[in-house]
Amino acid sequence: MSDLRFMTIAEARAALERRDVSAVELTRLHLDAIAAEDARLNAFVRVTAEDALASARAADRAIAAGDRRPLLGIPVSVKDLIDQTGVVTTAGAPAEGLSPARDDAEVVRRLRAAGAVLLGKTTLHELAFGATSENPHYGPVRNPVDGSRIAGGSSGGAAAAVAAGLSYASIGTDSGGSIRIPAALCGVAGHKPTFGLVARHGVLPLAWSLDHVGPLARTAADCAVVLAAIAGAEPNDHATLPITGLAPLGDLPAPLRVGVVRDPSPWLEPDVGRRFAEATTLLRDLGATLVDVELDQLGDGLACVAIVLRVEAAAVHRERLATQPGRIGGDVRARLRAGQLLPATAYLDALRVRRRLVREVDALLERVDVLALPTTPIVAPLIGRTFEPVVPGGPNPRALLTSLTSLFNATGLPAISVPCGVDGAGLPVGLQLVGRRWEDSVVLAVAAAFEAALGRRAVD
Amino acid sequence: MTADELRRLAAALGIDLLDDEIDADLVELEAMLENARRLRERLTAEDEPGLRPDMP
Repeated sequence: MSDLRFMTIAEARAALERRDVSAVELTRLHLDAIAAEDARLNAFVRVTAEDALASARAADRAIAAGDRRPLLGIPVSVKDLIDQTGVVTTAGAPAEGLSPARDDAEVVRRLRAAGAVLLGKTTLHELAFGATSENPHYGPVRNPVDGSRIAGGSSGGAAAAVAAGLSYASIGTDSGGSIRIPAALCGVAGHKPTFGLVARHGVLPLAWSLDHVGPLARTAADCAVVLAAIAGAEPNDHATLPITGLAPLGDLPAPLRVGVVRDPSPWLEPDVGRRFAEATTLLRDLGATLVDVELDQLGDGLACVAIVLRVEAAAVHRERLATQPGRIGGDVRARLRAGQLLPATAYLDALRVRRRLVREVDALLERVDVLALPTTPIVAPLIGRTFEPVVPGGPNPRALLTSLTSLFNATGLPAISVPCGVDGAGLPVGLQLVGRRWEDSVVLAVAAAFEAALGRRAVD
Repeated sequence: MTADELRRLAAALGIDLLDDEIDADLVELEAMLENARRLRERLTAEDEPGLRPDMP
């Protein structure tokens, strides 16, 4: 039965259609797995079993009536800064004094409308403000591949849940890499959509101009199915635009031109570099024309996002910081404090640089269809060691984890991380593919073709 | 910047810093000021303000 938990969404839907399994059975299977395995992983803050089973029963009735919605009866989860009616949204902070959410977030409403079954809320880095998910209030999320290592963050519980077969898909958020980083470290797919494609109403903000909501799942195709269900304009989120005609999974461009980012980081671990080189070879074997590109904007993108994130987050969490600073973990509190103390000119300068970054990366994407680079320069570090430099005098893992992802939050471009192999210790390595604005379906199609080719190579 | 200068700056802005965290606050702020310096050096008169990544 455990194989059922590791099917793709399309396979699970087919199994439901054939009546090989019911939505209630599938849901109970996941709930039992969470009960058995999550004490070790800490992927869930809260399991909503009653809500899930009620939805599953309704899904079984709908299936019997011929309903074919793409997520009907599919167990999924959401990061615990996304509102789900009747459940406290902790955002990874202490829950005392918080009231249950009165409404579903827009993304939850759309998941329900597509027939999904909501299993519960996943653990995150406190306030989604960090890339490790070492949470001082709820404990660290453990990487399913190696429990002594972080799952990455801030959507660490989401990635761990998918990787461990506790959820077919999970909704995360990404303000500097928080979907793609845990996806890479846990060996699953995670897609940060184009800024404005998925509504954020009912999602606790971290930084208004950087926050993206998107799916993590086992494959790029699964991400596409979920994205199709949750995308679209919403009047309560002014950043969303009424984009129509987006195919969930587009066709591969012909010819396909892939911009391979050369020397993306001086801190690239050798095995990460090797897996990335192999991934580009595989893309070439798929028929892609590889074009070497320099992406000097990565450093400025990181610096820009670091400042914008802190200043906007300090504004979002001003009251929390003023009234209960002692209840905020030290790393997050220091970032929020910096946001309060930075001069306004630093924020405006960052926005001016950001404007240029958008222009420059857009221009680069006129020469190629997608950019390819590693998602992170390192594999999952050990829990409790993320402040220690990777080499004496060098940066620590916390600083490195967002170094290759932040630029695409600054530019708002669609970016996915898909697994591209493992290092010598079996730890996952992620390939990041970045596309043009609103061309999420192209990014997803290239990622899906890459996954298929990687799967064929593994079989060979 | 010293811890004392940081404390005075924060106090002027009405912010109470926790004594046992002031060193961490200082490290973080200095790192961000270094980022700000880096970005400032990149700017030219042609760089315009922009507020959203989807703005043309």
